[in-house]
Amino acid sequence: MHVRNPHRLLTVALATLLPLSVSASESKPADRDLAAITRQLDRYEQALNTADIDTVMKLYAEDAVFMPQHSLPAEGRDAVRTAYRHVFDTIHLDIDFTIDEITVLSHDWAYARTRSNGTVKVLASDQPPAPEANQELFLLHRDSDGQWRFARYIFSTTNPPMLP
Amino acid sequence: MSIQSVLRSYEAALNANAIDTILDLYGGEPVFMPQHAPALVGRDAVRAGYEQVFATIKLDVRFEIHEVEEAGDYAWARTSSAGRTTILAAGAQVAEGNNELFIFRRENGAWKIHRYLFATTQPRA
Repeated sequence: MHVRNPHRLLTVALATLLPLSVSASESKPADRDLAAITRQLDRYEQALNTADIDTVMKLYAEDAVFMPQHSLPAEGRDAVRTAYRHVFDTIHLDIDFTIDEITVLSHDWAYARTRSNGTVKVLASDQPPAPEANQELFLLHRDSDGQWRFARYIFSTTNPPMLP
Repeated sequence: MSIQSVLRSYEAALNANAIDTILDLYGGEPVFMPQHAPALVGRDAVRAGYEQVFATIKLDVRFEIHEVEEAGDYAWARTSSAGRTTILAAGAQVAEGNNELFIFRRENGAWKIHRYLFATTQPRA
């Protein structure tokens, strides 16, 4: 997990929260939110690379919607789980996420903008792993237990289109 | 203008290749994350991104708004779009279908597109 320019990242989050929190001592919660969201993204990276579907599901909120490329949206936890089952049955990922931005929108909502790079191995194929590069937008919700979880998640490839 | 109205304006502007209208819908520090390209950061990069899109394809799509949530001076919307795309160089039409996630920011009292990522729902070629 890389955090590009973590100082700027913190600045972005503080700029978002400062109008709500007048005293400097109240900037601590912003710090904690950034750390908590970074930790969730780190867990997601590890869970993807180890095809750990139970850990993936712990990172998703109750009414989550997952929007993988080349697929209709997976709405709700059962559909999200089925979508990841399909992914992990089909490919093995070895990817590294870079966090470009985390912004806390309100007490309960935040987003993270990331990129991921690495390789994807199609399990049914004899072909070697191929380069994989995506960009992602995570919308996170703070659940009633205080944990930030993925409420909406969409990604798309940044690789050039395949030529016909 | 409500977020729904912004999205309707975006739909109309996309179908009309109206780059200036599209840029008016974006805020001061936008990031547009189209498929097959690194994130376009800032208004100049976003404009260049749309110029390239409109030089390559002609869109005829309709957006369906699935959900809109406001959170203070931010909001988000989840939409999907479907229609036809004409690939200008080939003159060929293909089916278009995407999921979209928009983050909006209130700037000078108006909702503006702040972050935007879309991904096709079409099966892999």
